[in-house]
Amino acid sequence: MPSTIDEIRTALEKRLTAARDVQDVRNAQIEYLGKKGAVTTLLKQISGVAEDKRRQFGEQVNALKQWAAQAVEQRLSDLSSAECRYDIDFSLPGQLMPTGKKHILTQVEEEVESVFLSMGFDIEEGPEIEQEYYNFEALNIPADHPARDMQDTFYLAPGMLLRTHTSPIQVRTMKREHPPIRMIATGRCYRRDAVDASHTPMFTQVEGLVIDKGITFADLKGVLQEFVGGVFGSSISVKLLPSFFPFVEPGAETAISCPICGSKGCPTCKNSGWIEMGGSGMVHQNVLREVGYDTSIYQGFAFGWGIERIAMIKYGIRDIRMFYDNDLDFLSQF
Amino acid sequence: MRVKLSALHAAIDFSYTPEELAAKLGDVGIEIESMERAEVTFRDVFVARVVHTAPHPTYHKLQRVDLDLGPRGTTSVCTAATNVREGDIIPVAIPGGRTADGIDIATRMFGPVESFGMLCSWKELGLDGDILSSEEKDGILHLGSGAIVGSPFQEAWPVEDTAFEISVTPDRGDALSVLGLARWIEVLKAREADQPFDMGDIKLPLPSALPHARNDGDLTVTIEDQSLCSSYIGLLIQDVASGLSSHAFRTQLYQLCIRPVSRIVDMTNLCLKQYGQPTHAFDYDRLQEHRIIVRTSLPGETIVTLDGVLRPLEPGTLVIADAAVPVAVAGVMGGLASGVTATTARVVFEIAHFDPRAVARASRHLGIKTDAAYLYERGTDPGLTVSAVPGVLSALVREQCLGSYVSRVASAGIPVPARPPLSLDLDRVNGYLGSDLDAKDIQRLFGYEGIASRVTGTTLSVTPPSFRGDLTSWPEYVEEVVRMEGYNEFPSHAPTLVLRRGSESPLKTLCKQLRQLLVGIGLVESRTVSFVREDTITAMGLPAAPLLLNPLTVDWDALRPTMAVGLAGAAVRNLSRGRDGFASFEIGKTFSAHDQSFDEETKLGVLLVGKWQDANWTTPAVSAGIFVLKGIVESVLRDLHVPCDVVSSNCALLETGASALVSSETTTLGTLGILRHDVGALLGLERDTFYAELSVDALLKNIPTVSFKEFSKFPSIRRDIAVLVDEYVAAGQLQAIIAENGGPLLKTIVVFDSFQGGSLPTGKKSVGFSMEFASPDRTLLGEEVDVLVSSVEDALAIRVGGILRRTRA
Repeated sequence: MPSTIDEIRTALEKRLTAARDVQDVRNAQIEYLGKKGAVTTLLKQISGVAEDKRRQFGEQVNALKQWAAQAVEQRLSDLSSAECRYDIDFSLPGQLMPTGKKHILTQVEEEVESVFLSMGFDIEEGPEIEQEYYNFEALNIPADHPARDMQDTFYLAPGMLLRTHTSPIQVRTMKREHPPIRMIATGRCYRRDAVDASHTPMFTQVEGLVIDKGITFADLKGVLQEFVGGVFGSSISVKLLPSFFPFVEPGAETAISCPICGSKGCPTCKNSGWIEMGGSGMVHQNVLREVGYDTSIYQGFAFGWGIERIAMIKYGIRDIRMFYDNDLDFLSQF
Repeated sequence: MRVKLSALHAAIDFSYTPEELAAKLGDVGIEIESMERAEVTFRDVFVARVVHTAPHPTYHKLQRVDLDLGPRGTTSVCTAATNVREGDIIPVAIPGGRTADGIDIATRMFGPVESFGMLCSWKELGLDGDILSSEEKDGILHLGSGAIVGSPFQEAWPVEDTAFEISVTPDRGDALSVLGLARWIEVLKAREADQPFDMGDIKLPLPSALPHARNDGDLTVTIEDQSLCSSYIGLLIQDVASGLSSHAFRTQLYQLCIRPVSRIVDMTNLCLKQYGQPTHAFDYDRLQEHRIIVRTSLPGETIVTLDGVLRPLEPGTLVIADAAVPVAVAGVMGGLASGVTATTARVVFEIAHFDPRAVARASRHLGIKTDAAYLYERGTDPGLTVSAVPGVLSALVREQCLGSYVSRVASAGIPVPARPPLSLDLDRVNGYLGSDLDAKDIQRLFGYEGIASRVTGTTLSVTPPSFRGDLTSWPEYVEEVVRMEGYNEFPSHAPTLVLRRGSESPLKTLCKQLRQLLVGIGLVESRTVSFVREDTITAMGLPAAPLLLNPLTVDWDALRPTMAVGLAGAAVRNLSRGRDGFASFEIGKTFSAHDQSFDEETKLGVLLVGKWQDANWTTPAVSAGIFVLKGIVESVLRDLHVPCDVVSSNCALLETGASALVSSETTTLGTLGILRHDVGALLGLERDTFYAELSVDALLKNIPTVSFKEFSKFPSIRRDIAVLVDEYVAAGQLQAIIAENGGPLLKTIVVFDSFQGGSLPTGKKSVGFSMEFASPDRTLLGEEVDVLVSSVEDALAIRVGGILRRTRA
């Protein structure tokens, strides 16, 4: 603590300039002008000073006291005039703007589409009420083939059905265009499945098709890896397993390394570290012939995955019915 | 298909754990869906023979049973079971033991009688009830003759085992049997050992000849169309006797997961499960003229199948007939009249190979799904099994003392011709797979699966085994190359593709834009099912919707012609969960039916109910209203640069007077208004609901191309006027008059006020307009704008008798 008049004046000046709020100034006021303050201490010393110097000392100390009181007041006034312009209670909530949400399936669908658009794939569409021919015969699923049991079908009239997959769009595209073909199609599909946690009679599929000269099974794997990397992140890998779909040969089931547990094993991947996502394979010769392509020149691959399945794995959703309940508590989460 | 590990071990030697087996089979395309391990959970349960039974002296519900435990001596227990007789072979838990359901066994007094243990039923032994017969599940379990008395129960019954649930794809019919799975296990072993497939490793009996037959029966078999039935063997058994299956046979069925029915049925089931060969038993004496004719059905023919149903046969259905009538639908189900009964003395077993398509067609047409049809549809082996199964059956007949013995075999059909070899080009294979295999590699891979191949230069000549009916064209062989090399071992690379941008349809782009705009406004997107209930649509007063011929439920028997049903459902769900408002939209297909054709249209539905904006401490809540809805529609169309008119008009689903048509120039885009209260009530909404539905297809045709327009860089001048008019004059009419008379400098007109009542005269309303005037090339003068406003005011006065209330600068 400074003790001489000059020291005190300098110190208090500094102290007041540094003070950032009222409380700080009040503290300084106590330190200097309070009962035990530096200025007060000097005032008490006046009576003890030798008589010849007492008068001069007294005048100086009183002048200091006056100056100090004024400086404190001034600083208080400066600070309070700056502070009082606003006094906002920021704990009050802001006025939230209404924000809508795209449905989670739309979000995933758009994400998938953008990955493929970036790889130069076209996005094709087709009718949901489809002819039996496009849904089955043209895809190498003749009547009386056991594969028809795989896809229990809703019929509207003889020969007219609700498409059971987006694959008829492949056929329509190939019949309309010549290779090279590089397309995906997304859309609603319908199968006569009773409703439970993993089935709804309506679901969304994404279908892919690449036809050109020299397209190979190895290319299928490469494209699926890009797709999975784009949707799930590049740390996720793809594995193919033998499977059967009438419109491809060789046919494969596609599995991805489990993004939920990082392939360590969890209930979702049944402790296998892998999750089956959908079918794929080299387009069957009968399908290519049916659309009039020369199979000695053109070949290619196709795949079909469920959008709901992708969303379920990506976000850990356990019940497929939630997608169609449209509960805001669900929709607003994504 | 369900089968146990022990049944597979009985067919082939292998040392894989169940988990390893599941993974390895999965890698070649046979999925083990689930695996269930059964352990011995009981202690000290032994096989005993009942020596003597006597009623309990005091407890009339109990009996005392004396038991022989073989080398373990004798004992006696008290039991309440009623199915215990002298000579029965039964399991008993002795003192110190414990049952599978956790009961500790001790010596117990029942009145004056001491009981040294407990007789066991299947539950106390923890057996799989699904594959036990009803007799076996009724009371104490009876073991057949042949169970060794005194042995621990787990030695007499295959308790400790792993059950697999196996699922195969439609092309893997060859794996739908123990033999088939054993073959695939042999493939796995061959691949691991780098050795060719060896059928000799299969331990199942595969007899190639039948025992000598006593020729005193008479049966003729005729196949009319060899393409539908390549071979047919009838096996005649006489002096058929009833009785229990042997203990060994019974436990074999348990390992094969076959529930016992009767000895004859059990034998046919065993052939099906173990060899993948369906068989059928006829009562020989009920076959007219003791003849079997494999033919197609004639017009008007019917059959009463084993399930007692009279079924008309579609002409051309492949049937088995006797001299007079069809006695079975080939490969699907037998007829009741020719079926085996308790009094059957002579049986004909059928072992045949039918065309998969013929069986599939009959099965589908008749709506009968049987295990036999399931197998035939997926292709049975026309070679080995048809020749081996008769020998297997005849041996079973002898072992089980079912009949005297095989007395005659009648067979028809030429031996199945070996399929001609197929030529496979090496470059084609590598060019298809993106691989770099040589002919020897491929030959080696084929060898693991038993596919014979001969290499000539860069060509392989390949011949499949008879059980691989799926191998008919070169891509199928390519698949086998991948299967054996390992799907996951194959290289992966990005294809070399021509540089090209990806594109999407304008409709798709518009749908994305609409979603983005609506979400920006604050609406949540719903996705609702496309199914609706026809009754609901009719009650809503809409035209008939497309109907499903085979709906899943009556609630979903039609396709939606409107988005209103689904959106209302979503609203009801959210309101019922305590929310006080719901504002949502959906974009998707709606459907309509016209005679025999169907149309699809992409539509946008917007539904608002209850609160539109929540209250905040700064602002009160805003309720959804017709002008919120109209504002949403107008904002979206404005952002798409689509001019629109909303004109009052009576529209479907909407309340009269609160219903408007939305159009753009000459195109109708859709409707908006207040949902009819009866429709709302029908859909479960009891409060005012605001609903708009626009055709996205129609909207797409009206999207203009956007180009830059010069805008004024000079300040604009605003003038407000309020006009007092008769209440029936539409604001739109006033606006039109202002627009017509404001001149080219009038840039915007905004309604800022509209009210009735208060100090206004009855029958009058006041509408306030704010007009903005601007020039592209200069700053306007107040005086010239005043002139324009005057002409607007004059026009309003003349045209609608509007009285100017006030003018604001």
